[in-house]
Amino acid sequence: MTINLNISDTANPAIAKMVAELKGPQFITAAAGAVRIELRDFFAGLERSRANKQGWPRQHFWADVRNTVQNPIVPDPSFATVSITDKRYRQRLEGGFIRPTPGKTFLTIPANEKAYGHRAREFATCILDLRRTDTAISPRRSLKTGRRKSATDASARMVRAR
Amino acid sequence: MPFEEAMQSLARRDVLPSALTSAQQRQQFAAGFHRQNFTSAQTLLTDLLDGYKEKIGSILNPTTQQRADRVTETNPEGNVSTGLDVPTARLEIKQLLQKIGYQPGEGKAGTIQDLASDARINLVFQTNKDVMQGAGQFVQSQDEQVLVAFPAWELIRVEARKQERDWAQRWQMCARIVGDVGAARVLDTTGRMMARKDSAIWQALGDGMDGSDDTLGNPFPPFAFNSGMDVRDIAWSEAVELEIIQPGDTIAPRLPADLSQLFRAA
Repeated sequence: MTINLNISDTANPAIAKMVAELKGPQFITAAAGAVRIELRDFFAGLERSRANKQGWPRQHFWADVRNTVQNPIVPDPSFATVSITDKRYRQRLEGGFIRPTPGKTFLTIPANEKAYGHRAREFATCILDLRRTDTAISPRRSLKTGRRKSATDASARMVRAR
Repeated sequence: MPFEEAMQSLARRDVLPSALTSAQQRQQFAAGFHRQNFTSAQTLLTDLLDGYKEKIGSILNPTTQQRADRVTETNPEGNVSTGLDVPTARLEIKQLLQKIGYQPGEGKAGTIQDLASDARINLVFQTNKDVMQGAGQFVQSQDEQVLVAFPAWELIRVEARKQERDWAQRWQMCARIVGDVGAARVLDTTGRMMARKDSAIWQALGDGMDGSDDTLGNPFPPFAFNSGMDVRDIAWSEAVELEIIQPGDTIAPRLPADLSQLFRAA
């Protein structure tokens, strides 16, 4: 992000002093700090406005992301970094494929409130419901999400937990 | 990039088994006890506490691996972020408790006192994760340049709760107790809970000086268990406008001794 500052009256000593003080790490810290606030406010807004679509208990994903927005690091007076360290955020921002972890074949997608926010192995019994798609039974091996699209068709796989 | 201050805050804690409840721990030990020790109410199982500490570290500090099967045009190094998430960490804690043969006390199964219940495990993970991140954010916020630009905090609700505690009342009482007239005035006139970052009100909230018994003893959020509250930086201009600070004021860094070692040098 580039921030441009235009000051037309530099003859005024008070303004000249202010301009001199604005240069350097103090200015960039303040500017980057404002970016951090904007990001945290934005995520707080998502936390408030995006309740679970199914009405299931919330996992507070956006509040978690908000907690990981760091204070700026200013390695030199012209450059600052504001990091978001929640590893899940990048996939939300850029989209892409969600795949099973190494050694596993399928993703497990919760079918009801009880399963939501849990691993399948937390349940004593777990029923895998494979639904037929157009041409064949197609348990989900990956999930592709885009930045603007919702999760792909859920008819290919469901997991019921008891 | 890892959240270094949060990780260091966790790494410096010694595992401490304890038979005391949280309220008893807060009453009996000095402020900062929980920042220096990793403990859980009425938990004497060292293996369990070690397990929690290790998993919280993995949640806070995702690492980056390079995998050949993940190489793409936009990701030529095949970078993959790894680290635990809360559901997986909870599963591993349950497996650990099974392995050591844990059984809840009579009539306690499924309750918050059952160390293997979702409610208990979630509370331990969430509280400790939030406190480590809160400590990290607090340490970062004590940078002198950050204090100049953002000299005040506002206490806000980030997560909704079915039963929300009366934080405005807590604020008023704590403001009165510590003598922060400005904090009390801003709440009365604007409905917002704002104070200078060096105000004693923040520690008062963390200590439950208004009589609350759900607090965590820290001058930074979360101030209480499962509160859903956090703080928001207030810029210098707004703080002056609301007369929380005067134009010539200086906000001094206010780091407790145990946290000053985590301070990131500018």
